[in-house]
Amino acid sequence: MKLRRLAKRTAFGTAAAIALAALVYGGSLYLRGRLPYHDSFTTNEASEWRQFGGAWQMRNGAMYNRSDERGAKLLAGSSRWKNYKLQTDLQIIGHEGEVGVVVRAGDAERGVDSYNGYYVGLRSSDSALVIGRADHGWVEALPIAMKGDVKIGAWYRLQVVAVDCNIGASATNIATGATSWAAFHEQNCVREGQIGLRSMGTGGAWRHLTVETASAKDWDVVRAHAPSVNEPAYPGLEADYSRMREAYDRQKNTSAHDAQITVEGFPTRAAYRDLAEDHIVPVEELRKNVTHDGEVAVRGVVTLASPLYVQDATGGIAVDAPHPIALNLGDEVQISGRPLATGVSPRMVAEHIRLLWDRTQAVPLSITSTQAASGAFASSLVGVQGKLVSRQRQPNGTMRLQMEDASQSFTAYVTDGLSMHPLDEIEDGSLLRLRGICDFSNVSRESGSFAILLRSMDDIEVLSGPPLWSGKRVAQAILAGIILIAIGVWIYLRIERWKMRAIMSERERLAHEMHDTLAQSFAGVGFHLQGVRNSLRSGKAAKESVLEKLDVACDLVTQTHRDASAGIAALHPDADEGRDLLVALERCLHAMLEGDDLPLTLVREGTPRPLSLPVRDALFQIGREAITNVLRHSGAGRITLKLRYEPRAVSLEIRDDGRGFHYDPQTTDFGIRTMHRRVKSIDAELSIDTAPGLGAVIMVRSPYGRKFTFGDWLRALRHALPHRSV
Amino acid sequence: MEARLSPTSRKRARTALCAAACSVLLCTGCHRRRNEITAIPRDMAEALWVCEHGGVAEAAAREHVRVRWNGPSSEDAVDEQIAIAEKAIDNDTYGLVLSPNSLFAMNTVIQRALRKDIPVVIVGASLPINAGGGLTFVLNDVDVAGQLAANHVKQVLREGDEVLVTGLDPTWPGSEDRARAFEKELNNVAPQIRIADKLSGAVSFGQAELQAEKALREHLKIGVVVSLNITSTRGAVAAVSALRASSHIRVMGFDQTLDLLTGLRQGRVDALVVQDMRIMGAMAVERVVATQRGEQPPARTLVKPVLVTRANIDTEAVQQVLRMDWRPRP
Repeated sequence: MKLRRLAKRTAFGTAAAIALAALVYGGSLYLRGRLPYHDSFTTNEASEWRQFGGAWQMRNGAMYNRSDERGAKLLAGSSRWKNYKLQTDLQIIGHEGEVGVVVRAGDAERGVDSYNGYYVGLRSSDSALVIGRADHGWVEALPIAMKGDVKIGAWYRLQVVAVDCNIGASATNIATGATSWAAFHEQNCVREGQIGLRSMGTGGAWRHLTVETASAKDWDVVRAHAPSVNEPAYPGLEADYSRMREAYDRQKNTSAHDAQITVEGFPTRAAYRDLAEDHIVPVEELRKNVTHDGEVAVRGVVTLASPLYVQDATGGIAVDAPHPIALNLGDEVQISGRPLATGVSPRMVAEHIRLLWDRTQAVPLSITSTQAASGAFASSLVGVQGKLVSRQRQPNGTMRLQMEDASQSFTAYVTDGLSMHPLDEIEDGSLLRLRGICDFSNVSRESGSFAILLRSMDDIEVLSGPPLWSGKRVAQAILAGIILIAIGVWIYLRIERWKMRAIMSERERLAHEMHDTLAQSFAGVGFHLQGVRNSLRSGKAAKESVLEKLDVACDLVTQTHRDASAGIAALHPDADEGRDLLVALERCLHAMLEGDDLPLTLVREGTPRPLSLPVRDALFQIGREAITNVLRHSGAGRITLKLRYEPRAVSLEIRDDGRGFHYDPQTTDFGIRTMHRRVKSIDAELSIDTAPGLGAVIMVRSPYGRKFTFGDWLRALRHALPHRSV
Repeated sequence: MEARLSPTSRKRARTALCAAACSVLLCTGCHRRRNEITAIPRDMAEALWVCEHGGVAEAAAREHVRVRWNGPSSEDAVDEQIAIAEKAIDNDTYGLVLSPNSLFAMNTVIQRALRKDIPVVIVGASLPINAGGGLTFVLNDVDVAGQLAANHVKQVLREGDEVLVTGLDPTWPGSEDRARAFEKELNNVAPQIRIADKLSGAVSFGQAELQAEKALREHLKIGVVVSLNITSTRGAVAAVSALRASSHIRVMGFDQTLDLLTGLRQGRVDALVVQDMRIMGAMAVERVVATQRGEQPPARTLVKPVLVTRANIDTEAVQQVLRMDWRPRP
């Protein structure tokens, strides 16, 4: 009972703890996912945003993607957000491409259109406001021409309304105030999902992003301004798409194919023809400190946008730009300027930077830390492995990682990272692969041999966790061991207490039984002997009377001896030995009789089935108690034990032809009460059919109970083994 | 002393245990071999691959399987394509429909999928590995593509003019096969036509334009530029436009994008040899399903490409090849 109570308490406690944890988690999710939402770009804490490609940075209260990757995404918010209005300022950085936002997004992964939701954005190639549906594929509605065209480098305010199956948008050029409106409807729409930032083929910037609950009125406003409500239809049939493009281009009076890169401050793409190629030198030459008179030019791919690093086939170079310049990773540029004699790290001061083309992939060269430390790869994009020793956040927000390899120690820097929170999940001692620029400009005794300038948090790849036997893990293992030992000791003490209680309970039972039998018998014997003594003292004792009292006393002693023998036999551990219940009870009876004869009939009905240990034990104890009672009180001339195997239950019947007794369930003796207790423990039924002079039938009917478990087999095995002598 | 539960409690406990065990088994079952094919194109956004998406989706609906369609952000992002394939294999995908970005880099991934008994179908261009053991090929018929290109060049080229081939990249699946097939057929049908130069593949549009323009300046007799991939076709079109030579230099490309098809309608592109990606995508799904059923689909299936010109682009047959609707019809 105690164990059951304890189990119930433990279960209740566990359930309560789980419920509390779920409540706290759900509450935190609710708080995190509730509207309105304001971005936290100004505080450089954007832990709620999840990155899918791109090179994301926060600076001056804005989120930047400085890569040309197509479909780079950043998602945040709750997947349960339904009808809402999103507003943000955005800007296309660099060159031709798209920048926009994602609404009602889910099932996202890295890839161009690898999410399920809607995209609303500005496209520079046809100067359009675009709304479309993505589901690991792309279908867009009729593009809406932007008033005043989409200007690269200009800030636009984009407002998106998602209500039911309607998506509406307005885009305003913040400088000119020119606004365009678009309305979109889809049958079987996506009704809820996250928000996101997305760029396509160019860099972008987003700031002042807010999300609030929207209603049908918000949609009505967009609907009233939009020229039409369009559905996702393009591409589809090429002919339809082509006709749509022709109509759109006629309306815009341009040809999309003629669109040139019109970067503010840059010449058009064709301008490279005007550049004299004679002055172009490989970066390797500058690294070797070859003296160049006057201006030189290098052509290369941007490998880090801020600070600016460019790389060609021979190596990388740091570039001091004359002013902040909107370039993205992967842009191919021609830089004219003066080379600086800076030792191992090539560097030049740029006078002219010209964008040639975009989306040129620069692949990091995998090298060892010793090769990196040699200086041969200075200012180049490399991949290096190392073990994280420590990390430190510097006052300017830069995260500094101290790394070491077999023979080198070095430092890695993440500046303006999207979020440093992923770093918190990396344990010291983890083996990392870092991709970034190999830099020697800030090498010090503390920083190690060289530094790696990471482009984004995506440049950190965890290859493996810290070694198993690191100091921290050993401490954790010791702590876990101590906790386990404490739990083990606690369980052991509980078991000892349960054992002690069981012993005390059995002692109590024995005490009651001895009181009911031996003590009463000895009292009777004493009473008779006292009567004999008194008679003899008075001298009036009749011989017959004395002999009669002595006979009674002798009978009582004999009966008491028999009862004591029966009780001792029943308590012997071997009493329940053997697998057959009837055989065990028969052996028990013979032990109680001590050579006396009592006709016994054993009856077995039905197909024998294995009984669970609790059921078998209870039936044996009840049967033994009943036999003891028969021998003690009934004066029976015959006893019958019947074991019946029924389909769903087993019953044991003990029948005798003795003198019977008056059975009152309210005032039964200790033995009968014990029977009831045992019956209750196995959910069985007990019936006692008796009356004075009519013998007695005691029947217990019990379900078979659970099947034998491994634990039961172990207990059975323990019974089968020789008992330890105490 | 042992804790004994009532039969009702035991029954409840048993039911709870069974439910938990079933849930675990169910989840395990969901995880393993879920009925979802992973289709990985070289690039997700270009029309060529959208057509394949349509075919894959159509066949998947027919075969009652699901499709996970995802590809790298660009054709040269080999590591992204490998990552997608690795993830699909880890998730025990039902089958892989793959158009590798690299001639060799995907081989290890393919072998890993096959070791896990995941059927792999290579779509589009062949790889230097043998079919069998769950690996099948549904390929563009490069010989027919070469014939179509050579015949067209023969038709449009003026006497004495030469041909420039651009976009040759030995590491790019199908590139050399295309060049070889074109040269062979050109020798057969018009041995007098000379190939003035063969330019290796450029990594970006701008570089392709620069390469083509330089070659066109060097070889003044060039009458047709045959470009073996999308980037080089775009570069050739831009170079011809920049040189204002579209009146006497024609551009013929392999594979389609929406801007190149628009260019074809506008006369900037003379012809495109278009792979029937829709059919190939559908066949690939059927091959996966057949392999999973224990059947043995053909090791290699060749699908004929189509030559698209301004004269035939609006025909029903060509429009069917160019169909890009990938969403299930309501």
